[in-house]
Amino acid sequence: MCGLGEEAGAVIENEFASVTVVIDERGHDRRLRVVDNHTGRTAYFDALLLETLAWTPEAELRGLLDPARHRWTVDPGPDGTTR
Amino acid sequence: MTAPALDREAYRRLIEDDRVHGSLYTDPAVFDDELTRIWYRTWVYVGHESEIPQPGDYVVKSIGPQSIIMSRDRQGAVHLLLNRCSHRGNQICEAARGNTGALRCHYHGWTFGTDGALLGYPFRQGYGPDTPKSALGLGRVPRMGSYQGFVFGSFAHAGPSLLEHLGAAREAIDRLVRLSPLGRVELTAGWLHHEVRANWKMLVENETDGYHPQFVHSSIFEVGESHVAEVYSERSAATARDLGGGHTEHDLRAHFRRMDRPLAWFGTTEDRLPDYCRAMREAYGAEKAREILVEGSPHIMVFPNLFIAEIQIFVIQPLAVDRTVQHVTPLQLAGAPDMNRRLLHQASGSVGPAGFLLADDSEMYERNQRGVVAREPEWLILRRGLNRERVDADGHLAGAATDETTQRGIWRHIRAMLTEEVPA
Repeated sequence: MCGLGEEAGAVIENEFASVTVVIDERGHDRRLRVVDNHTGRTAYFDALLLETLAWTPEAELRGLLDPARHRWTVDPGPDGTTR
Repeated sequence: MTAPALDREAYRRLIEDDRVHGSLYTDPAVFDDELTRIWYRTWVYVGHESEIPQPGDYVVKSIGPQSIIMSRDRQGAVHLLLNRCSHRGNQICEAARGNTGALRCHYHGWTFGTDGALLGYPFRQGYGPDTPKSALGLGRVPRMGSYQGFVFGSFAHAGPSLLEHLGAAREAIDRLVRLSPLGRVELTAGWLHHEVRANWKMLVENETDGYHPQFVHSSIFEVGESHVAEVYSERSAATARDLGGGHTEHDLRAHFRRMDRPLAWFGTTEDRLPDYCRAMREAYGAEKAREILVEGSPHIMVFPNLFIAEIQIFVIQPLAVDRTVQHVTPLQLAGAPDMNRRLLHQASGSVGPAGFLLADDSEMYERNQRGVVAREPEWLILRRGLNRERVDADGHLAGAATDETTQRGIWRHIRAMLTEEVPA
C-alpha cells in the first residue's frame, strides 16, 4: 500500500469497490481526491466535508449506501446509459 | 436432487452399540438426513471472534455445505449471514475475508448492511411502493452463540442453548484459553484447507481415536523423537472419554502430571520460552501457572465439527457423502508472542503443505472411504475397550487412551439425532 501523497495515491479496495485516494494540494488547502478505479469518477473531500462525514450518524451513512440514492437512480435509457 | 430419507427404524438397525453399518459412510440418503437432522439442527462451530477484530471485518465460513458470512458491524456486534443475495440467489462474498461498510451483490447491485439488512437496490422505479425492503435482508442463521470467543450457529429456531449443547466440553475450552496469560486464544495465523474424498464422520471419529497414532503417525514420531507415541500406548495414563452430546476427548492430563514437567506436552522446556513462562506466572501465580503448564492443552472433538488438537484448531466441513474439507489453523495465545512463534512452526511441521501428521490421516480417510464400499463384511467394529470401560467421577464413560469409548459415544449421539430422540 502506498503512503498518502500527491504523487503516490493509496488504493483502498475490497471485493465490492476500488478507489484511489490522493492528498490534493492544488487548492489553497489540502483535500482528498477520491477516484473510483472502475469508472474514473472523481470527487474531492475537504477537511470540513471529512469532518462532517466523521460526525454523520450511522443511519445516515447507511442511507448513503443505498445504490439508488445517488448513483443508479433511474432506469437505464433506451441506449443502455445510466447515471 | 435429494435422496429419499431413511426412517428412524433404519438407523436403529444400522447403528448398534458396538458396530456400525458401512453404508452410513457411503449412502447419499444418509448424508442428506445428516444435513437435515444434525448439521442444520444442532449448534455448529462457525468461527472465532478474533478473526473479525475490527468493525466492518468479515470472514466467509460454513455450516456444512452452507456458506456463511461472519461479520462485525460498525457497532461491534457479530452476525452470521447466509452468503446468498436475497434477490436472485447470487453469492455475495467471494473473498475469504475483508473489511467493508456494506455488502453489494455483483449481479444486480443489491446492497446490504454488514448486519444483513437490505439498504437498497438500483433503479427503484422497477419496484412498487409495497416492496417490503425490511423483509428482503440476507438470510440469517437463526441462533448464534459465543463461548470464549468461539462462535457457533444453529439453524434450529428453538432448542437447547449453546451452553447446554457444549455441556462438559466447556471445561476443556476453559482449559484451552487459560494457556494464554490474558485468558484469550486468537485464531489469526491463517488457515490451511485440506480436502479429502472421505465421509465427514471418518474425520470426527479419527480425531479422538487413540488406537491409530502408533501406526499411522509412526514416521513423524520417529523423525521428531516425539513423546506422543507413549501417550497413545497401553502404558499411557491418558483417558479416552465420552463427554455426552457427541463430544469426546482424550484427557492427557494424568499422563503429563506423571511426567511432572512444565511444557512436556509441547515437547519443550521452560528455558526455551522464558517470556511466556514469566507472563504465565505473573498472570496466574507460580503454583497455578506450573499446574497449567504441566497439564497442557486439551484434545477434544466438539461435536460435530470443532476439533481442538492441543496446538491447532481443526474445523470439519462436509460437502458431500464422500467429500470433506478440514480447515486448520495454529492455536495462538493472546499475550504470548514467543509461544506463538513455536506454535506456528509446530503446526507447519504437522499440518502444513509439507507436514506429516494431517497428510498421514488424510491418506487413511481416503483409504477408509474406498474400503467401506466393499460388500463384505458390511459392518465396522467398535468393540475395543468395552471390557474395561468405566464410569468416571463425573458420570462420563471412560476408557484407556487406545479404546473406542469415544467412537461409541459419537455414534450414540448420531443415532439419537438421526432417530430424533434428542433435541437439537
